[in-house]
Parts: sequence; structure tokens; C-alpha cells
Amino acid sequence: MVDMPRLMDMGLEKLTSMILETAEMAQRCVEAVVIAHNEGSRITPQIRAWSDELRLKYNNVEDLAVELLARFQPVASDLRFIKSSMKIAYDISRLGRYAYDIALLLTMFKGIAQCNHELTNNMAKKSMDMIRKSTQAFKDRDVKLASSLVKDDDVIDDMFEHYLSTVLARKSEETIECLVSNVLIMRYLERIADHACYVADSVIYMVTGKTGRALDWT
Amino acid sequence: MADKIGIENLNAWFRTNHVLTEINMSIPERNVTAVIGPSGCGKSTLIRCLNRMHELVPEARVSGRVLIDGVDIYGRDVDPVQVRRRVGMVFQKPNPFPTMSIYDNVAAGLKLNGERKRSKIDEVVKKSLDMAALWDEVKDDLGKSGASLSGGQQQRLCIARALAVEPEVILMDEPCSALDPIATAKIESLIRTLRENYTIITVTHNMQQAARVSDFTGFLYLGKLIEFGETRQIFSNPRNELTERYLSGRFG
Amino acid sequence: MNKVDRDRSRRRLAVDRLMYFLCFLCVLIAVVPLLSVLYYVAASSLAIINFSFLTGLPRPPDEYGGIGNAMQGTFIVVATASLIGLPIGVFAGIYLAEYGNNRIGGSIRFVADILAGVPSIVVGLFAYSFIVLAMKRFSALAGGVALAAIMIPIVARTTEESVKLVPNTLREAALALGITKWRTALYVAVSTARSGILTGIMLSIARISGETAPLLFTAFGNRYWAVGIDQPVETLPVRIFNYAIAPYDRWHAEALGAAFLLIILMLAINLLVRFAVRGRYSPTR
Repeated sequence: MVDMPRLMDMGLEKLTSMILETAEMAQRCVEAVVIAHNEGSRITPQIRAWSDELRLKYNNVEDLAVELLARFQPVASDLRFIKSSMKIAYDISRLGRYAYDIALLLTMFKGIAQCNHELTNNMAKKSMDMIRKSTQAFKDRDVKLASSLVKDDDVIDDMFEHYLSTVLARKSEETIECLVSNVLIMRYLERIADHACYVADSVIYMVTGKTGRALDWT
Repeated sequence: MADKIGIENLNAWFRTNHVLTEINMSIPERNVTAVIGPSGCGKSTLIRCLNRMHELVPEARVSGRVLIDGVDIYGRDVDPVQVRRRVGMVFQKPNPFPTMSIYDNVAAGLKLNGERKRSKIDEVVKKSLDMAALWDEVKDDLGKSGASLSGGQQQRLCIARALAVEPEVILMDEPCSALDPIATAKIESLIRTLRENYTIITVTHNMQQAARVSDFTGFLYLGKLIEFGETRQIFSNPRNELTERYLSGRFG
Repeated sequence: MNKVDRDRSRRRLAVDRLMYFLCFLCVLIAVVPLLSVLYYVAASSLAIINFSFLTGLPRPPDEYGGIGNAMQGTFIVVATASLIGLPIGVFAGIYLAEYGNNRIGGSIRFVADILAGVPSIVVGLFAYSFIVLAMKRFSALAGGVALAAIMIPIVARTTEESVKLVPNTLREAALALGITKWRTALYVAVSTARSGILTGIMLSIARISGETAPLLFTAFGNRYWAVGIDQPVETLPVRIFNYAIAPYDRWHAEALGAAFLLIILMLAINLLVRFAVRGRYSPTR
């Protein structure tokens, strides 16, 4: 029995491509701000523009989703997909906001280029990896891939807690400027990782209909 | 929530055509249960087995049990006419008796079953038309012919007629498919109201209607019950892949 | 439109008009004999019809008599036939429609169709053999029985057809209310079909009122008022028959008068049927 083509399919495809576009832009945005952080360049206005655009893209996704609901009254997996799309688009657009927050640090802390970026780069790499994985999981509807983000998130949380404890133990050699800016950057990176996890959770709900932490699927 | 109707290993045939295969289903009391499925899946046959109308077709056969309040209506000494008084039916195309007035239509079930007292008939007619949300529209015109009403009103008249016999279960075979959207909305709203006092089973090919109106949904395909469950669960996360594909409009 | 199209179009119009004219001509040819009969009978009999003609008894050929006893006799014979034939015919029709979808029903229908085709004089002969000879006299009863035998298959078939026209959805609705099958048949199906049944009844009455052959040797004839159902009676068709072949001019005139009255009677029954079923539910409308 072959599946019939449906009027709604075009709308669903458009929704998917819009989300993937948004994810790609968010990814570039975060990459750019991490690089700028290493080099000390001023890219705040550019990041700001990207962040606003991500917000706009999210609104477009929401509008399309609502239109599909009104017109086609979808049920079952289509309904779950549309609900998830809205949540995923929102979570992705938040990444732009956090990238902007990191960019602001560059203007607030003048000597930030001199700091040791090893740890933050490490964490940034992991966070960006999580963004990539969650986007791929969405694209492929891959529940296993989506569930693997839980472990990654735990690693990121550990990294942050570890750095925080070293800072509070006053054992570091770095300037106060570097310490504070690092903590803040790591905090934002941790939030970025969290949102990547939320995307993964939405993917799992979309495919299986089950909510709750992605623990049982590994 | 008690089960009003228990269907056990129900099979139905039209001559050699095996229309329903091993249906097992429990219909909860005072709820609306919808039966959905593509054309020809056996949904009309299924409800006709519940009021013993299927066997009226020549060369039609039934096997299995249908328990209403625990008693098999296909039992040896059960009178099908009595069953039909407990289980009423509303049909796809409104069919009021054309030579009778509105009053006589509603009273038909009572009068032709021997009720003579005028006062009792008056009372039942008013009550039934009231329950069918038709009393206010026709109370000054009870003598008018049943066929002079609009489609939606005629269907409500048929519902009143079925209610007048005081059934416990009401079967509805695509009750809105011959009606315009506004009349349909009125009937759907009526179904939700009637649910408080009656067990209602409705067959519909309109999935959205099933989603709007029912508490439980059963999905039938090629004579087999594929899935049965709470409407909210079936329409958000069906367990069976076939159900999922049908609901998403990928076939049927 | 170019010239070729215009020519084609004109030719089409011409053919259209020609066909219309030919059809109209055929209608005229069909209707003219009927109208001429009516005209002839009406014109010839208008002079003779008066109160004494309608209410008087027949007289010897040197006087003008009346057809009063013929009208009375027709009434008696038709009434007798109806009393016997209508209940049997109507119930047979209901049975065939509601319960007759099997071999027995098929056989009954077959027999009824044959009976409907039996020549009326043969039916008369049947009544003669069984009633006239048994009673050793001609009688209105024998005439009534003969006409009933003609009436029954007609009424049965028209009743059956009318009841069959009632949509099955109505029967289903009644059965779903817990109404028994026979009550459904009687109160729902028959009630809905009543105008069709009534039409069938009235038309069969009109039909038998004009039957002549069976009455010739059952009711026979009578120069006086009818006194009982077991006596021979005069009827309009028989009077027409006897008077038309007689050698008297007066009697020819009276025959035409009686014929005219018979036609009026048919017309009246047909109009009555139309009046009685006006505005009623008709499943074929």
C-alpha cells in the first residue's frame, strides 16, 4: 500500500527546511562569536543582527505551524511534529541570544583576548557539537542520536562546575577580568548546551510521543 | 466506568462475504464511542449487529456474542424486537415517516407498540423533542408533516423519535453526512448532551468529527478491529502503525 | 460565424422544426379517434337525456324508456365485486410486497399475471358454471363474483407496486424502533403507499364498471328494478349491448345515451382519483 501524497506535505517540508535553515544560522552565529572571542575582534553589532534574524525566523516557523493547524487539523504524528517544530525553532533561536550575550562580554571586558581560552574553547567545541547533533537528529528523526545528548550535557555540566570550584578556591593565576569573563562565557555555553538538549527532547517526543528526559532510549 | 456493551468474537457475513472478523470490543456506559475506518471496512455492519438489524438482510449471518449489561442479545430466547427497543438507531439520511405529522412521527414508536393513553404520549413527545433540541422550533406546529422540515431538523426529529422509545443505547450511522456544517454542529452538540444519559455509538467517515465528539474511538479496517482506545490518546499517539497512517490521511 | 457554419445551423433548425411538426401530427392522429368517439356519443345522446331517462324503467320500443334500473344494477354488481375483490386484492398485494420475495411469492405473481390476461368472457363462463348453474338462476351475485375475479389480479399488482415503491429506509426506521414486522408493513409501508393503493382501487373500479362480456350470462338482465342479490339485474354495458343490436331506432338512441352515461361515470371516477390524491405524498414525485 503506497502512501498518498497530501496537501499538508508541502507545508511540513517547508517547516522542516525553515528549521534547518535557522539551525544553520544559529550554528554559524555561535561559531563566529567563539572565534571573535579568541581574536578579540568586535562583532557585537553583527551578532546582534543575526540574533534578531533568528528571532524573526522563529516567528515565521510559528506562523506556518499555526496555519497548518488551522487549515489541516492534523492528528497523531503530524500533530506532534508541528508542536515540536514550534518548540525546536524557539530553542534554536535562543542560541542567537546567548551568542549575543557572549559578544557583549567582548565589549565589557577589554583585555579578554589575553586570557587563556583553552577551557572555554573546549567547552565551546562540545556545545557546538551538541547543536550539530541535535540538528542532525531532527533532520533524520534519529531517536538514538537525540538520546546521546544527555551524556554530553552531563559532561558540560561537569566542566562548568569544575571550573567554578577552581575559581572559588582562588588557586588560579589569571586576572579577575579573565576569571569572571570565563565563568560567564561558560555559563552561556552551558545554557546553549541545555537548549540543544531541549531540541533533542522534542525530537524524541516527535517520533515516539513520549515526554520526559531522554534517559530511557540509549 | 462500567461497560455497557461487550462484543465477543463477533463475526458477520453477507452470504459468503466475511465482513467482520473476530471483533472484540467493550463499549463503556454513558460515553460516546466513535467507529472510524475507510469505506467498506464494516463499520455500518458492526453497529447493525448491535441492534440485530444485520440479520434482516436476506442471507446475512452473525456469530459470536454481544452482551448488553451482561446478557447476550443473540441468546436463544431473546426477542430481537425487544433488543431494538433498548438499542435505538439513527440513520445516515434523515427518514421521518412522510405521511405522518411531527407529533405522530415522534409518537410512532409508542403508538405502534400499544401505548394508548393520550396524556402519556403527549408527555413523551414533548420530552423527546426537548431532548433533541427541537421542541422550541416546532412546538406550535406539531401537526405539520414531518417531511416539511429542513434536513437538520428532520434528523433531530428522527433522534426524538428514537428517544421516545426510551432506549439505553443509541446507534448513529453517519448521522451528519447528509447535513450542512451548521446542522452538523448542532447535532454534534446534541450528541454531547445526550451522552449524560445514553450510551452512544457513532459511525463516521469524518475523522475530525470523531475527534470532536467522542470519548473513545475504534479503528476498523477490512473487517478487523485494529485499535481501540481513548480518543485523546488515539488522535495524538496511536499505538498501531496502520491507525497512524489512516489518521494522517496516508490511505483510505 | 462563417458561411459553412451558418448553413449548417440553418439546416439543423429546419430539421428540428420538421421533427417537432411530425411528432405533433402523431399526437393528433392518436387523439382524433378518441375525441370523435366522445363527440359522436355526446352529440347523439344529448337529445335523449333527461330526468325520466335517468330514473325510469325501460319501455316497449314505441315509447321512450329509462336506464334507472341499469344504473342501479351496475351499482349493485360493482359494489358486490368490490366487497369481495378489494380486501382479497389489497391484502394479496401487501403480502406480495412485504413477504413475497421468495418462490411462493413468485408463483403467486405469475398466476396473478395470467389471470389478469384471461379474457373476461372466460371469467364470466367460470362464474356461470359455478354460481349460476348451482343456484339455477342468473344473479347479481354471479356478476359480482365474475367482476371480482377480474378485479383481484389488477388490484393485487397495483397495490404491490405501490407498496414496493415505499423506500426501504422507512421500514428500517420503523424496525429500529422495535416495531414488529407486520405492524411495520401495515402502519408504515401501507400508510405511506395509500395514495397509490387508492388510485389502483379506483381505476380497477372504473375498469370493471365497463365490463360487458362476463355480465351477459351472469347478471343477465332485468326489465324491472332489482329486488335482491340473488336475482338477475340490469347493467349499463349489457343494456347498451342489447339495445344497440336491436332493430329499433329509439333503442339505438337510448343505447347511445347509456353509453354517454357510462363515459361520464368513467370520467367522474378518474377525476375523483385525481382529487383524492392531490397534494399527497407520492414516492415517485
